[in-house]
Amino acid sequence: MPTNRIGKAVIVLENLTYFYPGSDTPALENVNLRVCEGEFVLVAGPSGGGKSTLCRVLNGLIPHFYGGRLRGRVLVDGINVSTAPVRELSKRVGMVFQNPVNQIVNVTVEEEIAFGLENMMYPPEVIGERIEWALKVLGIEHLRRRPTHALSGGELQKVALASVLALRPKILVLDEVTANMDPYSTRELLRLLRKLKAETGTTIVLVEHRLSEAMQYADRLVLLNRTVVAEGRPRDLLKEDVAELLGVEEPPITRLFRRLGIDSLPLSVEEAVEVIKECVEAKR
Amino acid sequence: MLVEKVSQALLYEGGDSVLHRLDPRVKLLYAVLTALAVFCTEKPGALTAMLVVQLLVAYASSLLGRVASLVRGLVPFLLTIMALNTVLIYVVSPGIEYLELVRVFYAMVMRVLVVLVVFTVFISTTSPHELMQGLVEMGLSYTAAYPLVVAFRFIPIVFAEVQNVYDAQRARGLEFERGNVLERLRKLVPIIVPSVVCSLLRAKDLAEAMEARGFGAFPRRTFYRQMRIKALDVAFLAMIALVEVLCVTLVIF
Amino acid sequence: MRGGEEVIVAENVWYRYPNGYTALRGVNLRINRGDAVAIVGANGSGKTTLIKHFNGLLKPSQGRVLVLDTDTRSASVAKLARWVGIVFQNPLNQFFRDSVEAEVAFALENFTGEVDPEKICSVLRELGIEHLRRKSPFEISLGEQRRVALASVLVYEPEILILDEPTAGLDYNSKMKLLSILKRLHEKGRTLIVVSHDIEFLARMLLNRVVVLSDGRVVFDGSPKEAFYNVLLLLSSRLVPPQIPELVIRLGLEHLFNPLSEDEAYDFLRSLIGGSFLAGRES
Repeated sequence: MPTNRIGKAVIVLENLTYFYPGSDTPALENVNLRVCEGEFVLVAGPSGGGKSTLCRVLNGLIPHFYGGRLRGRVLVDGINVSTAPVRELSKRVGMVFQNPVNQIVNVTVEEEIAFGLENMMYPPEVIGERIEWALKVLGIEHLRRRPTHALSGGELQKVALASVLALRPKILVLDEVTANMDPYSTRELLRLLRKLKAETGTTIVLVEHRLSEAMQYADRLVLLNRTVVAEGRPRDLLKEDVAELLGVEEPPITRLFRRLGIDSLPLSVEEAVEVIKECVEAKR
Repeated sequence: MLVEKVSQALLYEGGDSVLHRLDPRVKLLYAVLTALAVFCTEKPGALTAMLVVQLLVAYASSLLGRVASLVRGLVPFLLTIMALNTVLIYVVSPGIEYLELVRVFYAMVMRVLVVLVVFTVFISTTSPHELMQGLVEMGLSYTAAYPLVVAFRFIPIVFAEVQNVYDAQRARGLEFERGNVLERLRKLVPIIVPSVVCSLLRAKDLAEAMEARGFGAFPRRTFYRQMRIKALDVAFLAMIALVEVLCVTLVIF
Repeated sequence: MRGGEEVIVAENVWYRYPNGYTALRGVNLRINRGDAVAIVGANGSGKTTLIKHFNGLLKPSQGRVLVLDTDTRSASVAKLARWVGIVFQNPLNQFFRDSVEAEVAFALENFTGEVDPEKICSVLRELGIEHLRRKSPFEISLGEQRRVALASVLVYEPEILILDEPTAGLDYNSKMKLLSILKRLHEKGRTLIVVSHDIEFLARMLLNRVVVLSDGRVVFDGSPKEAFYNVLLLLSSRLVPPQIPELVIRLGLEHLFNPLSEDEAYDFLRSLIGGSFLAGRES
């Protein structure tokens, strides 16, 4: 388990309830959640359970872009989301969306990474430094001058992430970003997020369906179905058969070991190997 | 297809010619002034000289092939328009001399060609981002200018998507080759509806992504790559202005 | 279940797009009746290009494709699509009517000229979406939309069913529903081709064959176990092995036993760790 410098709460949701415009059923109902600085939180749940809605509350798109009725208290980095303008939140919360193609605005990669910085009126020298840094962190220096229409889904998501990271947000929110990515790119991205967290202390909120890969990276798992159904450390939560309970995918390896009746549940194949070695040792 | 030829002509291509290195504002000025100049004279000689000048500029930017391709694609359309125009003139002034008519027709053709060439050169040597930046530096608000970049970025995407819709509907048995005109028109609905729906969704996704990165947060923006009017720009503008003025004034016939 | 009859034959198929890009370079493939085949490969390996040859949307630049003994170059898409139903990845690329019912009827109208409401209802029931019959296809969830797209193909009963990335973006419940639908279809004798990189889903699918494409060529055509235990092959296609094979490989025991399903893995691990150790922990 990596050591975290986990600090104060950067996300505070108290009795959050939200109705989309013209809707009588709440998309989120009495959601209570605190996320501390530096945490890696994995949000899972069935479709329609409000995961995407939650993401958009965190960066102010809800309520400012979507309208609707927002109740309860939402503080992101100490800022009240209901009253603060989106640009205050854009400085602190970076968001990457599910569809890789639709979130890229510019014709070349370099222009895309510079985009947010230019919007926020950073001076050109700083923009230059941030572009270099973002390209390096994501390992995409070779893509700098490429036209964006020629990139694969995995490359596009890296560009989108680089573009968001260039603004050095405190909190990174990723809404089902691996949905259209191949498994290898997914693994690369998740490892990158872990490295980012370790090196910069960025708080990460990852919304995912494909939990087989993602589970091992999370400090905390939140199961969301309009309200927070359960939350805690992945290992603790997975002691129960949550897949059946909530329609949430779990790593096949975890499922297998729970069925075998083994106490220390592995979240990844590496952990599973260790567990088996221990079991075999104990047998001697 | 006409659409493909025209859209290919409109595609920016990176390059290292003189035109590529010019400030977009200077290029825009060149294009506008040339278009104006060409309407200031009716002399066939002057107009031909002007066209030759633009073709030389196109040649210097390695764009002659593209210009030729565009002209070829538009020839039937242009000829029709100009023939109609000529007929109209003949109707309005029936006493007009044959020679005069030819002169008028020639002037029309030359003017259109000059504008086409200059337009193609401009678009092909100026990336959408440069163009947007140029307009913003000249005073247009960036939120009004940015759609240029976005539209260009999505051209290949939208083309591919419409193709996907077309394939999906054909795979469901939709046949465009069959049916009378009315039936074929109705068959456009299964192509148009999904294309529009997907475009709307795309627009929403894009708007979110832009807003989330501060688009529109401030009335102005900074630019990473700075634009400066250099010696090259001044020299080019001066030279081309001189040449064009000479064409228009000195050429007698 | 293997009929032995070849329903799709691709002979040395090359395909070059108008812009010059060569997507397929000499693909040879034979699909038998009753097969359940997965076609996997990295983006750009030619998977989607290949399946578009199976209903005639694309015709080979070189070589030929035979579908039920018909050369695709001499048949129209409408004729071939009658036998080969493709469910593409994005349902929104095809929806244009205002009810699920009407949407499902579309292909049926085109192929048979008449609409049997009973048939439509029965297909919707089979997929568990009968309650959505009158709803607009634009107002339902992605999982439901995918099932509507599937229904609109199943309703005209094509011999061969091809699905392009059927699980992308789906939640767990929807994936499990899809899995059971596909199993049922296969049991009834339908020939299935699934293009996917959802390796865990494929591992659970009871496939009898896996075809791996790379750079427009077939680099592997064999059993799922061989494919999913071949790490080099998978990595070169930007795939990773399913977790169970990965575990066995990391334990260095893949030459002994190749479990793929959870049940097989359970038996394998029990024998490895020993029943005595687990005695106190079993419920």
